Amino acid sequence: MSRESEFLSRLKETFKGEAEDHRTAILTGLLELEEGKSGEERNSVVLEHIFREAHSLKGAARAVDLWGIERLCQSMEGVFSGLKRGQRRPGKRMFDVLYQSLDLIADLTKGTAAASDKKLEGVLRMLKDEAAVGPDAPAGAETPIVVDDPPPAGSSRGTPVGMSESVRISAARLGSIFLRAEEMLSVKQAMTRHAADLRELQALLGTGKHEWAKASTGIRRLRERSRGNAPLQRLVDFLDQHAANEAIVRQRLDTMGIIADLDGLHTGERVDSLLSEIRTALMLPFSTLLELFPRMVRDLASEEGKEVTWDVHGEDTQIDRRVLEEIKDSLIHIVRNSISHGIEAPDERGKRGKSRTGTVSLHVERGDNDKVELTLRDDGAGVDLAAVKAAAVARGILTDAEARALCDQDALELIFLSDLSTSPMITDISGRGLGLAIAREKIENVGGRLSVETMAGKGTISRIQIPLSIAIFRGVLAKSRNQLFVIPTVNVDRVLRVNRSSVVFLENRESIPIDGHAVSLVNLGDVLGLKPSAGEESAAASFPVAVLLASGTRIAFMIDEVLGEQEVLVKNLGKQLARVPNIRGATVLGTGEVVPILNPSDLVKTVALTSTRVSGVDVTVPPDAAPRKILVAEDSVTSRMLLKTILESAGFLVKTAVDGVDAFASLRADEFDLLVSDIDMPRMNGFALCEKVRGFDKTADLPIVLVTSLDSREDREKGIDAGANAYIAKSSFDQSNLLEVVRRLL
Amino acid sequence: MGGAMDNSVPIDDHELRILRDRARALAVAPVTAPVDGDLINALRFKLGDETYAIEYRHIREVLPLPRVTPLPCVPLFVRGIINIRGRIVSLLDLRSILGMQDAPRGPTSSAIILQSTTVEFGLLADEILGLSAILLSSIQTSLPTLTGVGAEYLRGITAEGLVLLDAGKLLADEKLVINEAVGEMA
Repeated sequence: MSRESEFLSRLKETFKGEAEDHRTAILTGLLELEEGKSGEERNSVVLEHIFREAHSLKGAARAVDLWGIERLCQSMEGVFSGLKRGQRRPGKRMFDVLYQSLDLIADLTKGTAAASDKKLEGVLRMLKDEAAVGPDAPAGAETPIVVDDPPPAGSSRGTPVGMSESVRISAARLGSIFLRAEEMLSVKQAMTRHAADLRELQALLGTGKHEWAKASTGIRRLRERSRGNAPLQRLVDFLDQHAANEAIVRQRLDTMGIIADLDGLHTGERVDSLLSEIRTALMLPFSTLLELFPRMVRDLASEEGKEVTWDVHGEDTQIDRRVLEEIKDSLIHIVRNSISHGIEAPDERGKRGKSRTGTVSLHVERGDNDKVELTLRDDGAGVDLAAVKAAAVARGILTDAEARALCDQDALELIFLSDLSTSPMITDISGRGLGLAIAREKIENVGGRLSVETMAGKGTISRIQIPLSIAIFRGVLAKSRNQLFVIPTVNVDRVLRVNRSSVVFLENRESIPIDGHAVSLVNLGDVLGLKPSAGEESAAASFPVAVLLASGTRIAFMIDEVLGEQEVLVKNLGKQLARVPNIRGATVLGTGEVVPILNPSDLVKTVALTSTRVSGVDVTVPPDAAPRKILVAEDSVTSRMLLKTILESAGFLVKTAVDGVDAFASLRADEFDLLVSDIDMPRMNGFALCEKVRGFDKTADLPIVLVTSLDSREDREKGIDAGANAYIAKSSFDQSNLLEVVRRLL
Repeated sequence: MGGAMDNSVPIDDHELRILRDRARALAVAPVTAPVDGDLINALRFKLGDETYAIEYRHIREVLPLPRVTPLPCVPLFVRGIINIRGRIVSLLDLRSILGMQDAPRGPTSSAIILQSTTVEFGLLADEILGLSAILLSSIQTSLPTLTGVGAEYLRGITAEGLVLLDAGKLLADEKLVINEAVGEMA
């Protein structure tokens, strides 16, 4: 964690220097333009130069997540491109706005307080005005692309609220109040346990009452004989006294038991209602998440040369803000998939007799059992199941015969596999099977489900079911090798007893038939690496099994015993255990005992990893293989450093070059396994470098990844023509994306 | 999403530090406050046959060893997790970190909870001996016994054979923080 933040702060330092260079260059250019002493030709050179500088600054800002600067640069580019097209002449007001933008960029770079959101929005609006309606802009001219400025969520918009009606409270404070209230669950559990303890004690004394009754005749006889025998007399008196005492204790215990039951009931009710009140306070309408979608859909559609209408119903549905936060990325991913994979190009749609404009719609609905149902529909081409099967065969996931035998629903399930893509060209939004697998995992992590239906030529429907709140967490308490574990109930498909005789061997693995399918059977203890307990091998005729469903995979886990199912309070494992494989957290039972909570998607992955070892032979690449060498060509020092660090931390040897010429010289002199190159570079750009590399014997087959901020369809096609193997847009540099692509090509 | 979804923390680390320092200043009786900068307050405890000490300012609390729940899929030096008033804290085994022989836990076993702004964990001790003030100048740092496994966590040894642990280093060491996903396991 801290290493990452340290790296980011170092990166930001580097960025400061670079940003100042770009800013000065733009400023100098603007001053020259405003002076107006140069000729037309010189002006266009200067304009081209400052346009490029703004573009580079935008890319660098994106790499360090300074989105304010990114948006400013984007809007400035809009103004510049209007000038470039000669649609208008610069006026004084335009220069004023541009200077103001540069000042704001300086403030944002330094992170000074002067750079408030309000100011940013103001400047962005002015830039937009300048780009759109200049004094000389011809009527009906093509509007330059500029950034929308949606009002920032959380700012005071909508109807003003009176002081007495409501107060603002920070999300963190509210979250912490909720956690405190959630702790009350253990009070509720403790009360139930106390009542149970009392009942146990009652039962114990109840048998005593019986014993006293049986002994009473004996005691009476003893009393008759004890006359004149003082010690015996005392003993009989003691017994009488004791019987009377015990009767009183019994009576009081009965009363206490009743009171404890009632108190437990009341406490439970109060805790439940407190929790549900606070849960309500944590609710937000779904629309807060959807604010960013219209722009995203529009941008992506225009990048891909498509026409798409975005349609939303039920955005007022209330949902826990933490659930919203957790599923945000997944929903974005699925919507992007719909546009990029689903919706066809306008001409193609015309040919198929559809309207040129595609529709992507989202229905949000409150379902049963505290669930929210999301239905995302597109009227695109649908998933090409034949292509999916072919890709699975090509990657060796399925054999030809298996692919033919696969039913449509199972074939569709293949799109969730992490290394499957039907797209011939790797881009970061599509052609990246990894994303969908992660999207589903994130949804499952909050106790949700994701399923997909598709109809060839008609479109795809993704159904997402998420809980209203992530607070209600239930777990199955199970024992494996004498240790207790909690399995999240949402992932438990079923629990059953299996006869040893029904276990079959398939491809060296044990499996059991469930609903007519063979489901892999593993011992939970083995997966977790627990030592086998003594006598385990003497195998009973039948044993309990928990069938878990995670990441679309069903696996049967052999366990010792199932103890029950209950509400559990998820706690993290403490700061020293930031993330432990297969373990998601821990909970404290009513008895005070600490029990680890298992992570079902990790378990499924662990089983999958061990299953690649067929009959004792490890088929994974030996770790001691020589590290692969990668050349990084990038002119921005910030991006260069970022790429180098990402790749080096993944174990690659990295050499860097500052532009195409420099890169080609390195490629001639040295041996590399892969080239990562920016497109927009001085002296020789990425496309030219690609062509040069392909034309040179030694490097003709070298895998090339183009990494760029120019994310447009033409550029991507240009990339293919030039001979690149992959094309990634550097939106914030998703590390796993880059590494995934690189690993796939090596 | 903007502001409404931000997880802004009400108190930042800096403020937290100030508050802690204040609390500490109020908590320490002025009489026992170290007048001499060379003097450090340390907790002495036994581990096997050796006596160790940990500077007091890194310690959050000391408690008799509660029930330890072992965890699968963690390195050997993580003995498990414990419940401290509803909070889960991991328990580390100094024996394993310092390369010593394993030994059974006894009735005097205790947990020493160390804390910094970024990390918190417990250390397993055989027996708590008490507090003492150690003169920093009395600590020898270059002895052959201070080499080998885990030597990086030792600050030195006093003439009486008391080994002073470097709790700051234990708390700051990222090697001791577990952050592993499936597939990264050794």
